[in-house]
Amino acid sequence: MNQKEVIQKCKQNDYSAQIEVYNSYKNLLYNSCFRILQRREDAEDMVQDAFIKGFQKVGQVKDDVNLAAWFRRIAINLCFDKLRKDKNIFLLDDSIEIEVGFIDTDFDKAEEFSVDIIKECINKLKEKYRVILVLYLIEDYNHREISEILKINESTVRNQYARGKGQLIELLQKHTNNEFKRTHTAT
Amino acid sequence: MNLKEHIQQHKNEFDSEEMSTKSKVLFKEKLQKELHSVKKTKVVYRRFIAVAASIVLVFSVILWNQDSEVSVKTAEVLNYLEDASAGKRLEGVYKFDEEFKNEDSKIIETLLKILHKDENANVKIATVDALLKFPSNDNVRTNLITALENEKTPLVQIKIIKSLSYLRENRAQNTLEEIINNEETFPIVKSNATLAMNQLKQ
Repeated sequence: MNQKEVIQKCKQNDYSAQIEVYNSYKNLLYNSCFRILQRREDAEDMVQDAFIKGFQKVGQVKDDVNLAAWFRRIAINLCFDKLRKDKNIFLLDDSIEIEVGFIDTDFDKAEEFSVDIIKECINKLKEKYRVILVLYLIEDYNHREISEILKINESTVRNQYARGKGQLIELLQKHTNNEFKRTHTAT
Repeated sequence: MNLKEHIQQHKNEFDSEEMSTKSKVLFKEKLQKELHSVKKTKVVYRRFIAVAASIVLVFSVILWNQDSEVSVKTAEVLNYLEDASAGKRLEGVYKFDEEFKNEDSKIIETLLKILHKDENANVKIATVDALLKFPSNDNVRTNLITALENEKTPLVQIKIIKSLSYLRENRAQNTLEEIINNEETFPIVKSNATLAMNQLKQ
């Protein structure tokens, strides 16, 4: 079954097609949700809710939609609804700080760091920076899309991204220094 | 290479986590519950809603038609009652007939206004008759007592006294007593008030 057929079947509330879609994209959605929520159980719940919500609304999409991206967007939105509900984050809009301005730090040595180290350092960031970096760097959303998801100003997103990225680079550099010290102490 | 390029190049490594095995079973249960098992109930429920909505619609149309007919008549009567000519007002009071089986608050309010403020005794007398169609309306009863307290025209006074006696309105006794004891009261009014008082005390 090609994707167009799968979508048409899902529109007819076909159980087998729905399970096929679930099996194809569940881990993709799970990784996105886990990066945002940082809790395995919560991420799994969000994935399930996203599929159910998606199947309920699949009648509204065109047959040639990118199903993976569409379900991922639903899942991410649900994650932020949960974060807003549970933690009340993103209520404060500090876009006014843009006047002071944070310059987006140039960093062109990213290939020196392994994926695991980058993941570890991203997870050490404050939540408000972490989620924006996750959406921008990993989920590949632009600032405008992030502002829509988070329901905050685009300028705030840019500001928080610049701050978060600055902190991430600091953490990566600190990690390099520690590695350097550890190696030299060992020798 | 900048951070985003580096991460996007190794995107697969960021998506290495997998859902637990039990989650698939849970999802199948959830999917059955949310989108499949309730199908029949949903259809029955939707049909029920559709039938109920049709019934409501039919009744609404009937009631709307009735309401619009009544409101046209009400407007007509109100026009007469608020006319500058006493003859027209009188005509309005007489138009307020059996067709107005339900109490119409706007018309009653206008009639009560006439009862208290109209300068024409005939209009007032006809108004009292019209108000007597609502013997259980407490607002009408209390306004008749207040009107009697303030009324100076003997013919209207007598009409109200007889009405209160007919309504067996015991709260009118104090007002009747004042009329009886008032030296300025016309003898014919006094005798009607005394008769009414005796009837109320029985």
